[in-house]
Amino acid sequence: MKNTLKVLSIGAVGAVTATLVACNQSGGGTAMSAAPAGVSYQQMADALHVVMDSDRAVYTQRIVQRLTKKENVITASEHFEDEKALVLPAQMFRFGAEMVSDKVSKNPELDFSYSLQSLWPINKQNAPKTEVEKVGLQYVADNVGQNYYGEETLAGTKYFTAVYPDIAVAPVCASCHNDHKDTPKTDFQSGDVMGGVVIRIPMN
Amino acid sequence: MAAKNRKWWLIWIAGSLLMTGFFAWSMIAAEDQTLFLPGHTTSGHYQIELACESCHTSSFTSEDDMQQACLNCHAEELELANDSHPVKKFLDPRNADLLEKIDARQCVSCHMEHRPEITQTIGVTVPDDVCFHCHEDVGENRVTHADLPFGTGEQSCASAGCHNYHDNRALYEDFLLKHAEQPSLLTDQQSPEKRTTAEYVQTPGYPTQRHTLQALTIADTNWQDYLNADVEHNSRVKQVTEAWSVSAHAEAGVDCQQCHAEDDSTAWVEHPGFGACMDCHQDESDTFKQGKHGMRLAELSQPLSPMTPGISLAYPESHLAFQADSTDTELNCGTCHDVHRVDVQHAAVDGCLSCHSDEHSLAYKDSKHYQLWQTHLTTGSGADGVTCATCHMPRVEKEQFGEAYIMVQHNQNATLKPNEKMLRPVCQQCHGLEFSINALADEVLIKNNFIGQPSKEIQSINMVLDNLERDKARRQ
Repeated sequence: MKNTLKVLSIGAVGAVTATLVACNQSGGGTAMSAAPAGVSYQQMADALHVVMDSDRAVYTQRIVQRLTKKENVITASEHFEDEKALVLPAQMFRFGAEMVSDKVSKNPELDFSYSLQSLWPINKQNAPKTEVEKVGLQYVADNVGQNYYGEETLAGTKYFTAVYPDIAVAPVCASCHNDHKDTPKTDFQSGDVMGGVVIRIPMN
Repeated sequence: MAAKNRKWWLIWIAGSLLMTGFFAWSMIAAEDQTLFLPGHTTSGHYQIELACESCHTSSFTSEDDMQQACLNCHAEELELANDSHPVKKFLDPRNADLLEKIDARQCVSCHMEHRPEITQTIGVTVPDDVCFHCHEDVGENRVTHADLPFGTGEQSCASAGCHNYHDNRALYEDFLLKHAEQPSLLTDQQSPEKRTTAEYVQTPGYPTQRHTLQALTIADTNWQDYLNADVEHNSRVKQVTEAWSVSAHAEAGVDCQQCHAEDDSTAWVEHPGFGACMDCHQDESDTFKQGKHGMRLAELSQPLSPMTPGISLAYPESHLAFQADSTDTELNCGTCHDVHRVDVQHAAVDGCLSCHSDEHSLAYKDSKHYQLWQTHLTTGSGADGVTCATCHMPRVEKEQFGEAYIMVQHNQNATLKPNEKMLRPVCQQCHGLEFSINALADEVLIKNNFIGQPSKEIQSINMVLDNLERDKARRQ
C-alpha cells in the first residue's frame, strides 16, 4: 500500500487524467517521464478519481439534468444515436473508460483502468466480480463518504484497487434508474450511493 | 563399399539440395503459393488466400500484427455495425478470467483461418454455444431466457434470429419494443432517394477540380478523331458516343479523356482500368473492394486477377451456382454497368442474373418484389420496386467530413451474413420488424425468394413484451 511509483507525481497525474480523460488527446507519456518521484498508488487513484468524479458531475448536472428536465429540450437515451438524444451519464463515463483502456493498451507505461459498477446494476455485466469489488462496493454503500482500498491479483498481475462511492448527484440519476425495467432497485433518491467507481493500478 | 556409400551420400545431398531449391523457389519466386497453404481459408478469404502477406504481414506475425491485418479490412465494417463486442470492452483486467476462456480481443479467437474442418458459417471456428462462457447467468436475469439452451445450429443464441455477436442494430430490446406493433407491410414505404447527378458531384471528396461540372453534348467531343478505315470500329465509336451523350457522365461534364487517358497524359487508353472509375466513384469502389465481387482488386500484398464465377466454383466449400457461360466473366465496374450508358437498371437485376443461377436468384422473377420492379419500369410509379440491388446493394446513408449523403453500398456482404444485417437498411424500408425477422429466419422462404409468408416465429419481440409486463407487475 505504501509503495511509491517511481516516475509519477501529482502533477503528472493531473496531466495524465486531463489528457486521457478530459481532452482525449495523447502525450501523457512525456509528462510522466519528466515528473518527480513520490506518489503512492492511493494518491494516484485519488487524483484520478477527483477528475473523473468532477467531469461526471458536471455532465450529469449541467448538461443532462438541465437540458432534459429543466429546459426540456432534449432527452437522454441509452440508444442516443437512434433516438437523437444525449448520451447517458453512465455511458459517458464508460466510453471514456473504454477509450482510456484502448490508449493505455498502446502505451503500457500509463497502465491503469477504471469502471463503473453497482450492487444494483441495470446491466448485470456491471455487477462486482472480484472479491475486492464485492467487498469494496458494499463498504462504500455502508460507510457514507468513505472510500475502499485493496489489493488483488488478476491473471497473474497484482493490482492496487480503489473503490469510490458513486452518488446520485442529480434527480435524473435516481429517476432514470428507478424507472428502468431491468433495475433491481426502484427506490433510489438524490444523494444515495448508487454504485462505485473502481480504479485499478498494476503494482509493478 | 566406401565407393558405394559415397554414391548414396552424393544422391542424398543432391536430392536435398534439389528439394531445398524447389521450396525456396516456391516460397520466394513462384507466383503460385498453394503449396504452403496449411488448409483452405474460409469463404470470406479464399479469393485472396494466395496473397499470403496481406494477413501474414511478416515471417512470424505477432498477435497484434495479425489483429491489425484483420482490422485493415474490417475495422470500418465493425464501426458501422456499432459492434456489440468491441475489443475495448475486454481490456479491463476485471475481464481477465473471461479472456482465459476465450480471448475476445483477437478476431482469430473465433475466426481461425485454414481450418476447414471446424469452420462454420460466416467463418466462425468456435462452437455454437460459445456465448455460455460469459453469459451463463442470463437465465437468472431474464426469466424469458431461463429455460433456453445455449444450443447448437439454429438453436444457438446467435443463429436463432435473436442475437448477433457484432451487429445488433435491429435486435436490441428497445428497438424491438419500439417496432413491436408494426404490420407486415408498412403503409409508409420509403427507401433513400437516388442522388441526382448535380448532388453526386457535390459528394465530399469528389474531384471537382478535374471536371467542368458543366453538361456536355456530342458537339463538345472530338469523337470523329477516333474514326478510321474500320467500319465496324467506327460504328462502335458512334454508338458509345451517343450513349454517353445522354448519360450521367455527360451531364456531369465527364468527357472521353477523363476516363480514356491516364493522369495528365493524352495517350488514349482503350480499356480504362478500375482506377479510372475510382477517381470519381470512391465510395462505390471502396465498398466494391470490401465485398466478394471486388476483394481481389483491393490493395493486397500482390496483385490478383479480377474475381470470376469460375474461381468461386473451384472453391471446395462453394455453395453458389452460376450460369454456364459466365464462369470466365471478370468482375469489375464495367461487368454490371455499361460504362457509356451508365445504366443502373441493368446492374440492378440482369447484371446479377447473368452470372447467378442459384435457387434464390432464379426464383426472383416469380416474386412480388420483381412484379413491383416491373410496375416501376412500365409505369414509372413512385416506388422503385425491389431489385437484387435493393436488398444486396442498397442505398445507404454515409457521413463524411460532417456531411451526410446517400451512396450505393457495393459490398454485397454488408447486408448478407448474418442476414439480420439486412433488417434496417433493407427490409424495414417496407416491412414491419417482426415480419422481417421471421422472414429472414426462414430458409425455405429465402430460397424461393420470399414467395409466401414466413413459417418461422422468432420469439424475441414477444420476450421483450413479456419482460415489460413483468416489470409493470412488480411495480404494482
